Amino acid sequence: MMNDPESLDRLIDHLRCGDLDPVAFAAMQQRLMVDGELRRQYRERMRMEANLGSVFQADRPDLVPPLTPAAAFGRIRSRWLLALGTGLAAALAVGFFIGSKRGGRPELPVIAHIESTSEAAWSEGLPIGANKGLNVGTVGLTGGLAEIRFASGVLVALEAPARLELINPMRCRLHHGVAVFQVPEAGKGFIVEAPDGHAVDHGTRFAITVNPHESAAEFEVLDGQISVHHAKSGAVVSLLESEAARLTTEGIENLDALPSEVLQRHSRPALHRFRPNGREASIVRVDGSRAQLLDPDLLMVKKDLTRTEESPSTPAHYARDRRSLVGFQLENVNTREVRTASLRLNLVPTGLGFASALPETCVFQLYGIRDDASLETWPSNGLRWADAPGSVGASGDINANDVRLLAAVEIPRGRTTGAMVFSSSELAEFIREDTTGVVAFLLVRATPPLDSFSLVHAFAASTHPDAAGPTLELERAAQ
Amino acid sequence: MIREEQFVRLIVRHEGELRAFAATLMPSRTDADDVLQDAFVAMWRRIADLKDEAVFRTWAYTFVRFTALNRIRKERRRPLVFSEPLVALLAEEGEQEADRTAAEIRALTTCLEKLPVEKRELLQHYYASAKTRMTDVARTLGRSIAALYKSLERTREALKTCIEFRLAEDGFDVAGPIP
Repeated sequence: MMNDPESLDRLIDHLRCGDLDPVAFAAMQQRLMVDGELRRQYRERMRMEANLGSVFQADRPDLVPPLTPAAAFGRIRSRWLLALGTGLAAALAVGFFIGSKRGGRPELPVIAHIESTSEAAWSEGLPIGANKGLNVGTVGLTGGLAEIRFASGVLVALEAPARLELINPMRCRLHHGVAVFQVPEAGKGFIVEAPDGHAVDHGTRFAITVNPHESAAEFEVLDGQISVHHAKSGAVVSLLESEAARLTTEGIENLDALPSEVLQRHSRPALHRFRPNGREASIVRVDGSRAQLLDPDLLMVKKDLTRTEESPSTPAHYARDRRSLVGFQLENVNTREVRTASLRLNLVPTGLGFASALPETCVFQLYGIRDDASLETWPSNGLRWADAPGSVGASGDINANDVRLLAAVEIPRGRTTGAMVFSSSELAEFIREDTTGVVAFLLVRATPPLDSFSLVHAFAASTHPDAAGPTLELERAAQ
Repeated sequence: MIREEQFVRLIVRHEGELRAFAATLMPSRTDADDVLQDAFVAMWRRIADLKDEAVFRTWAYTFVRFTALNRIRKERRRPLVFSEPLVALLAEEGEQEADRTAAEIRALTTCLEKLPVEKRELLQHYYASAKTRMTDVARTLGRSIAALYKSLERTREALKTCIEFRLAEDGFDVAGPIP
């Protein structure tokens, strides 16, 4: 409804009068955060409001300060004297500088979120706020790769080591490191600050490398157009596709040849990343019709004691093994060319069970589901244990006809967070053999517990609000 | 060094566009007025920092921006106040539209003259006070609130079209087709 100008008009009328319904206000604010065109329309309309007020409003307060004793007795005298006399102005002046300092506040709205990570290590606490998104603040990446999506839709791929300051959905500052920005239509006008200036995007994909030791930033346009602005001189250079410039304290220098490896790394990717896009499921082995309360944000795994191993003193206990399934559609890649493959997952705590009921280390296994379309897909809701690929009826066994073991990872029992990467020649071979364009995996915890109430491990699903979901990385031979 | 008289002249010259800018940050009419007034107080106290008249506009926009942000930080629990990131975003984009804002004010004067009398009267009733509500106008004019909103929307649309036509003549980009 907000796209309808009449609707925006009416909302603004109520907003200006202070009687807009809070729910409508929240929805309006959310839309304004992400929609640049709506913000433009909003500003235009609000300016008209103010301008009409300036023309017609009879009780508008004057704003010019009193310069002379005579003027000081004008109708706004009291306000000016009050303001200047009580230190309000001084407070404002101090507040001006305090206010200009950027700092994360937990109650601030989210301006970005982490879209994915790959072996990411962070040097400082992430400015995570409400809904587990990222607030205003700085992220320091000391290892790996992380993709951060701003609320404006702009995606930045940050490569370690790098330090990026998130300012608002349309602005950030790269203190150092390498970052590749992908800017959709809604993010046009996105600004990336660098030490000696900034770049304004005009709908594009571009890379920035900031080298703090040389005090230089290099901008390379991979697609589209950007303008690079030098802070000191005010000089502006426009860059088109395959053009590059260096920004230093002295000014902007056009670079004839594309200098860095950044462009090569990103323009001809030998690395393909895939995400499950909802092809994820957890199954739990329960008896009868007990409710299967599964959190869709978690891919849970647990190996439970079997009934025969159970203590007779816990008759109510059912073996609650848990497994997870994850599938990927492999588009735009010739799987026969795949040289290496890895499945990256992020462990997240579940709050279910106790780590002390586990042996010192736990082994997790990755099974590849047979290259058969009927096995590689499953219903998005209500998949039962007995019907899942890899199951042998209601038992806790693995059906070797459906799946084959590709890789295993061992971790200490207390670890419930961090990345877990399955990578093996068997996994690469499994990908190369694919004929359906879809690959699917079964994740299990192989280590049986010491006691029934053992920890439930989980990996973040794609919908997880905090940690990145599963990512399948396939590397072809370099071009 | 800017002298006090010079400062006042600058304020008077740019008051309209600064007011329009403040309105984009603080949707309530009274809040926008308060922010503008507080910003002018703060500017007045720091007048010594302003070395060159040529940079006044940028300097003043910055004061309005940070005064609004300070106010929001203090009053973030109040209903109908935008969040700090949104206001920062609106301010940043709005500052880039400073020339346009000034041009809109010039165009509005001309465009108002072209409006039919009854439409001007409606605007006059509605915008006469920051505290005016549509119910007050409906009572005064003896018309239904729905009809008045419709009429107001049409009037503003006519003004917008006229303003955009003038802006396009001045070389500004405009969103819609030029009539």
